[in-house]
Amino acid sequence: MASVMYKLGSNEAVLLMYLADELPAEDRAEVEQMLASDESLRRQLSAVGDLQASVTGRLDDVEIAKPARVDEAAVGRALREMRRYRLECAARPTVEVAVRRRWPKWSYPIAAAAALVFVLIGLWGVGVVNFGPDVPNSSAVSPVAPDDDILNQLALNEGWPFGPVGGTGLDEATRRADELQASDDDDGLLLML
Amino acid sequence: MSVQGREERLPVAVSDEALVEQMRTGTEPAGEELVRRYYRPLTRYLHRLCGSEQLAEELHQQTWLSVLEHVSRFDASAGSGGFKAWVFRIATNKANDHWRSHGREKAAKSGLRLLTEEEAPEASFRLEASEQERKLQEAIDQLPANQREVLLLRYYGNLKFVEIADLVGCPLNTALGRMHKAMLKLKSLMDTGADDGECDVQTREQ
Repeated sequence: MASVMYKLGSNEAVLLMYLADELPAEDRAEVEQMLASDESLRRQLSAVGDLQASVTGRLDDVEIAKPARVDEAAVGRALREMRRYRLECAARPTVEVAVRRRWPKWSYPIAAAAALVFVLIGLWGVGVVNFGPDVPNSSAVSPVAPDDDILNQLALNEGWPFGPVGGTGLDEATRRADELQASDDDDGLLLML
Repeated sequence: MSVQGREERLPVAVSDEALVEQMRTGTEPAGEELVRRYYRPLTRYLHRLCGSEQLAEELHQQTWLSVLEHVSRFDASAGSGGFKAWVFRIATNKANDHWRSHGREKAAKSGLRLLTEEEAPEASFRLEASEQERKLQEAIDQLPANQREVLLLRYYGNLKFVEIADLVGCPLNTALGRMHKAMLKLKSLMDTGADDGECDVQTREQ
């Protein structure tokens, strides 16, 4: 799996991994082969190694000069804080988490539909919406508009003799009613009913 | 490249992960052992990262409190590096949180410090014993934050590059690039600082 090496974008990155001995065995062998045949790569390896040794040396000069012992007082302080935290946690009253009652998911669309039905019933009750058949306004045709209830009954009557000739049954009924009313033929109108 | 390898270390009879398991059950000595085991690398890492010993100790305590708080969530098999990488990640986050919340205060303090040094140059002269450390800290402070983090995690945490990349959340190639740049810059800054130091000594002698 010589893959890690080819994911690295620069020679320095590969050489850092090589020096740290963090390359997979196959990659390491390949780098060693390259080093054996490539003089400039060997120089780069030497430069990266020197740089690393120099920086590590500078850091070591400072850090090794410091006492290597553990600061017992500081460790003690950290441990005291941890102990206090544990005690606080132990003393904390266990709060019962209130279980939120959630309605099942399927109930939301049903509730929404029910609410919509109630709203529509309310609107129908106050007359804002009308669920009955659409009755055209015939007042423009006749000076005396026939009663809507009469027209509706005519239109819904299965035994309507004229049928929907030249339009809907309702249109025909309206026209006939207008004619009868205009001719003051009450008998004819009653006959129609 | 590690500070840990050059120091006397406690015998590692029990693995970190085993101690973490004991810590979960509330075994206090397990926590104590872990604190001792990581005291030096963590405090030195935090010291170099934030530039102050007092702050490093404070962050060190916060780190362990956070470990205690989240120990139940630690999963050794989840990320690379095990407990060590996890605890260094927490320490790094604590330091970053601190800088985010105290960034303005720090800028004001550093301005004040520079002003004080200009007015009283002999003040730094008294710190000759720790001159080398001061120079190192100044050089580290001048590194870009992401380069500083990688360099310090490598040196003080002795983490593998793959673990560092995972910890800081960048590709391996980027972590290695940052490491190389950090080393180049630190060397350059330290060399410049050393030259300046020599000039200062010559000037004072004259």
